[in-house]
Amino acid sequence: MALLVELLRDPGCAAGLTPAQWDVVVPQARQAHLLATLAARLWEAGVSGAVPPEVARHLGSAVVLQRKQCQGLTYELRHLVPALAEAGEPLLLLKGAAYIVAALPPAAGRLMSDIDILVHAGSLPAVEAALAAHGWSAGKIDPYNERYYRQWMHEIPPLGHRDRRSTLDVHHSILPPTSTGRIDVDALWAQAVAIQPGVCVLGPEDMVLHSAAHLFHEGEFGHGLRDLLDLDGLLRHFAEQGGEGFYARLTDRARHMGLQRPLYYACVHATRVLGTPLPPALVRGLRPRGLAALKAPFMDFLFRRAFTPDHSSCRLPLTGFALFCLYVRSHYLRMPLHLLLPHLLRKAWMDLRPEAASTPGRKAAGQGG
Amino acid sequence: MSYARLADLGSDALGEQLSGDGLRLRVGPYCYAIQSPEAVVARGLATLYGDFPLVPAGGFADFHVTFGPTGWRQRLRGQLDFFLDERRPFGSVPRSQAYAFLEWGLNWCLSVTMNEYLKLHAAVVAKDGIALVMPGLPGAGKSTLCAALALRGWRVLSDEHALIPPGRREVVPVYRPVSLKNASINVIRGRDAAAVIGPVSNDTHKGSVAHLKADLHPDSHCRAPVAARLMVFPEFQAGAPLELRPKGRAESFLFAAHHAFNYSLLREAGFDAMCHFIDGLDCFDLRYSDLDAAVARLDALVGEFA
Amino acid sequence: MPLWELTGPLQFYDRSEGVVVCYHADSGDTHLISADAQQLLLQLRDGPADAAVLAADALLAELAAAGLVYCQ
Repeated sequence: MALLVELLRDPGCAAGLTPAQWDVVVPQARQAHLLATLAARLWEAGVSGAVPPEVARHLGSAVVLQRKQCQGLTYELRHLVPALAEAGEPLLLLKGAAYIVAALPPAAGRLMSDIDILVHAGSLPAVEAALAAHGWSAGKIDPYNERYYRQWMHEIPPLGHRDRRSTLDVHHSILPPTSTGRIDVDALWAQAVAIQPGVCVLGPEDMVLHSAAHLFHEGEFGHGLRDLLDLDGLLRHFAEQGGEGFYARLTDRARHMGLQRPLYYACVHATRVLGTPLPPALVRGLRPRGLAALKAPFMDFLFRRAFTPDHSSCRLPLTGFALFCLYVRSHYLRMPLHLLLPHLLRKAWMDLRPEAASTPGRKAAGQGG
Repeated sequence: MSYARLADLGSDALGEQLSGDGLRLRVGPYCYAIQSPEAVVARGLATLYGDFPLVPAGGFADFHVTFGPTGWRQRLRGQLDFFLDERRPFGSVPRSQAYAFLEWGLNWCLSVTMNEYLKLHAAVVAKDGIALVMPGLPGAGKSTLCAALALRGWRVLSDEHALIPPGRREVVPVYRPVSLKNASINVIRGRDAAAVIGPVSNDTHKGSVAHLKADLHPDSHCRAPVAARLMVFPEFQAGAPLELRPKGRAESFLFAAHHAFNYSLLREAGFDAMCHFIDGLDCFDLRYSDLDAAVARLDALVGEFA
Repeated sequence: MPLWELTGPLQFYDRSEGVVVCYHADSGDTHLISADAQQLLLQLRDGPADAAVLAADALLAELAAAGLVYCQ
């Protein structure tokens, strides 16, 4: 197991690490965008005294960045709430921004790349107009990417703010409309929880399902371990808050939305990698049966690689192949095959000729906040 | 077996470390571990970093840098990739620009990661135990001035990063070779036939770039912070008469903060650190065209404060 | 009458040079403002004030554009 993962699971072992081991942990953590998370866990466990000063300054530096992001988020909300109100929408935060503003356990040390929000599909034109009036715009995007977003994605092209340089991802659902899940967006809204005036987040079960669906439908695993830590933190927290009934509600909700499969993978891998305590019956009930069960060992092979920090000190054999398979899979989950092949070829072509792509396919596969 | 300085290694051992587990160099408060199979990297480091202390393997390095060709496309095109911790922050560069790019990369590692100091984008030089901070826009001539001062007995603390411990009026030295662009390369060569200049990279996005070995002062690799008393904003202007004008602290604050690497990341702590730092400094605008005159004026200025 | 108010807490670096550094904690932005502007902001620190009393419409508009004050 990667040293970073061991340390995240058991921060107490920091006291026994040699300088040569820290020399491996810090690059692993930086690579996985988890330096500030590691800092938060070591601080919380009260073992910061065991961290050598030359390592502590790297952790502290990452915490500085993370706190700046939190300040930026708070300030952004002050502008977003009134802007969305003009379109008649509350601000529903997703992913990182939601965890941070709702002060949920994954927030500790978590970095964000952008602010993700959910709006009603019917309000999209009004929302886009209101946001544009407040300085948010999509900037230059080539027509192919624009069409790709509008047709296949559950979000519009990312918006950047003219002055504040913040990035906003506006979603109208939590999975692409063509994907295998059956997302009941009205149900998501019905269970949303208000956390501040004008600001809400998904209900507990939906938050877990979104986190799972996001992780297991996405094609880019640069944040794989971080996203798995989100899941681990949410599952532990809501199980404690909601009691045993939480798991039953979670399974029901997964069934209702057609998300048993991502929830199954989430549970299996969170338990395997991070030791998330889950009732065995939960995983048994979600386990794929029939033909689907046959591909389970292969999926396991792929995800094991995705959740290992992408660093030579711990990388498993065939990681490149596994990440490529997951990338193709993420597209195949959202697009019919006869459209998928030309799309991937085009993206590969644009990667070879970076100058051909005005907006790189970064968000086309999504990397999420 | 451990060595004190890079020059003690010998070229074979240097090459082995660079293409093996990495060469570990002490740069001010930090340790860089550099891996690169490129001949020009070994040559440049041997020329410019001979007096740098080495760090024994087996400990903690702040920055793990790899610089070389990666995929088949890069190999075919003769391109190189720079990695920090196995992440590639930039696109590939042609081999002809390798050395300049390595130096930029090493700067970049520090610019984007560390926040234990307030980091101004500035050259820092010292004389008689007094540090002078020179923030400046690219092209303002701070590096050329910095190089000229180094050849006249000043100590260079950095030509890129002023590291300021919050709550102190000091600068932490983080010396690396001084970068020279275009005409400056020959200007500096012309000033001192003995000046040691590393590999020249042509046709970079900044034109031709080369580096001066500027650790000529005996304390160049001392790690103790140096008290700062002066901030000078240099501006090269061809044909202009020398002019050193006092500049307000508030105005200097804003300029230095806007060109800092992490002032805004540090939030209140950055504001407080900047207030305290600038409050102990006398600030000036320096317009110059003649390097000798500028050096003489700064010699006199530091004399007033020593 | 419209009331003007600070958008958030401010800190100043003032060496009586005619211009002052102003730090806006909520946004994390740092501005260089005139001494007159600082006087106005110090006045608003004590509480919202009437535009007619402040009698500095141009300055207020400038400070509003910088995100330092707003009109209720």
